[in-house]
Amino acid sequence: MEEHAEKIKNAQINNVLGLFVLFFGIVVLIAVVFTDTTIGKQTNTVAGLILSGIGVGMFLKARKVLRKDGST
Amino acid sequence: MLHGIDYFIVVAYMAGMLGLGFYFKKFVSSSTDYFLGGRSMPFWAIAMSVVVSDIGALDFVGVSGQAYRFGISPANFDWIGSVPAMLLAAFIFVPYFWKAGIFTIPEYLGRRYNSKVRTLASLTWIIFFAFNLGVLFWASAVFLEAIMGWPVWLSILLTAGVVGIYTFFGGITAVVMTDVVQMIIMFVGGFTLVFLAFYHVGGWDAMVQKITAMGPEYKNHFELIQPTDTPTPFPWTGILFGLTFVMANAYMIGNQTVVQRCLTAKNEWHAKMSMVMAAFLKMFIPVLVLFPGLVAIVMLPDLDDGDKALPLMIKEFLPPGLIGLMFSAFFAGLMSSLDSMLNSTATLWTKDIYQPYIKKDGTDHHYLMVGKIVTAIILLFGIATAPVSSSFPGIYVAIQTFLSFFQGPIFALLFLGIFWKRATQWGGLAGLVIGIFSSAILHIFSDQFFTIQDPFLYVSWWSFVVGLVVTIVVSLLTTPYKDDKLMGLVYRLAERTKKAELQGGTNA
Repeated sequence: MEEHAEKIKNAQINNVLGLFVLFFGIVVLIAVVFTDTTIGKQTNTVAGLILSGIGVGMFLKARKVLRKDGST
Repeated sequence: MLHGIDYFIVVAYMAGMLGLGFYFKKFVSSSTDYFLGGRSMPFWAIAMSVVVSDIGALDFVGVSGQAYRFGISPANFDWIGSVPAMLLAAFIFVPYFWKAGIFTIPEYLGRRYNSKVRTLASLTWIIFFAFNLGVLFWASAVFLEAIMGWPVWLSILLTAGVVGIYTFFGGITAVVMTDVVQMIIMFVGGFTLVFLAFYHVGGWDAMVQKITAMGPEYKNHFELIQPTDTPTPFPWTGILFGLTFVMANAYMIGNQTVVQRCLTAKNEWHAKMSMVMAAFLKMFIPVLVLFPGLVAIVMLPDLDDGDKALPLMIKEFLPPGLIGLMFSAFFAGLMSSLDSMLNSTATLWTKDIYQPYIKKDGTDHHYLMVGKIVTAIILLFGIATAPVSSSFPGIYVAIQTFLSFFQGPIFALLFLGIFWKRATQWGGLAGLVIGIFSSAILHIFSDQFFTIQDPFLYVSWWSFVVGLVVTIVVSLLTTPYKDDKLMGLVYRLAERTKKAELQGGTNA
């Protein structure tokens, strides 16, 4: 029971953190529009994609746990 | 110059941290939740938290500044110092601390030695953290002044407000979990800066060639091991004895902010693995913090203060968006160090001072409230003492100097406490008091004892030796505890006792 509660707690936390990181990833990707140099655009794109990837990964993993165990 | 989108990222980051703090409030319903996160944290979150709280703002600004002045030798702090110490902590010390069910390192010292040792160690850490907060606030002010021209007090109050609120409400759950986000942003922002810095300087080889050609004073900039007569604070003898043998171990094993995170682990395996993973992540830190400082020697050769190297590198070379991200990464480092100290100080005060001496029979809710109030008081104290650190030439060295005063003696007590069952309560007390006293003497008369500037590594080594010798001598002259009192506190004592009993039975 306690282990189950811990699992839900961690999934809830990851859910929020994932969204937070994803938000920053998207903003950095948007910043490409405001960047003048090619190297700057490339760097913003890569950094934004990395952040978005991490955010999406955390979010999806958390949702999976919450869907599976959250209702039990 | 920050663009609109950079301001947006910074403001969103700050607002997000505040929001997370309020969100984590729902996970705090007891003092165990507030101080140990309900002992339910996974290893990866703890590992990221340990790394990010250690790297902090001091490393971003201070170590880049050290690299600008002295070259790559400060990398020893992570590669030769922290990584072996973290592995030692993971496999020897942390499992014992976790199994003992303690909240603080002084609590372990209290069980192993006596309550006087616990109180003295706890008060020392509380005083250190309280003043360290001021140093950290000052680091943020240096950064913000260089990059944005913000008044010192504005940046201090802004940082204090955000960190104070999420730590106050969310306790260590907020501390650890915001650190996870902070580490992700810090690593992405940091590696991006390193990539762009090398892109502009023409790569590693070009940078080495250009720096070496700048004059004889740069000939040792790429030597990891410095000679004993080096003008830097990092001679190899100090690195080996002071850092590797003492300070790194003392920091990773005896520092409340580090160990408290491991104590939040959901089980012993997670506690151990958190340190193993943290050691792995720690190996990347010199790349993040040193390399921008080195590139700055070529790109910004006439800085009057090395601590300005990193802020100006960010300003010069990062594109819009990433400036904001890196700026947030700096805040991340700063906030993770601040939140750790706030929560650890609250834990030390509540568990080691308030509960045993002021109100023994309080309810759990009462101690939770005390922890929150202490968090607020310490934050205000840190704000008020921030200007003190401006009188030190280098921010990072200032903090190491403070640390070297008592890290050595406390590590001596932990080392003997866990490995030598003959260490007695009076031996521990004498070792701690005389060890700290010796640090103060060595620091005050450092000109007469040492030939290098800022000899904090030597001070920590000799204070460790003094603490160790005094504890051993006094222990041999006083009565030790019986084995039953030391069960679970001394390395493999239970196994050794059982083996001895079996052998006794066989012989009989």
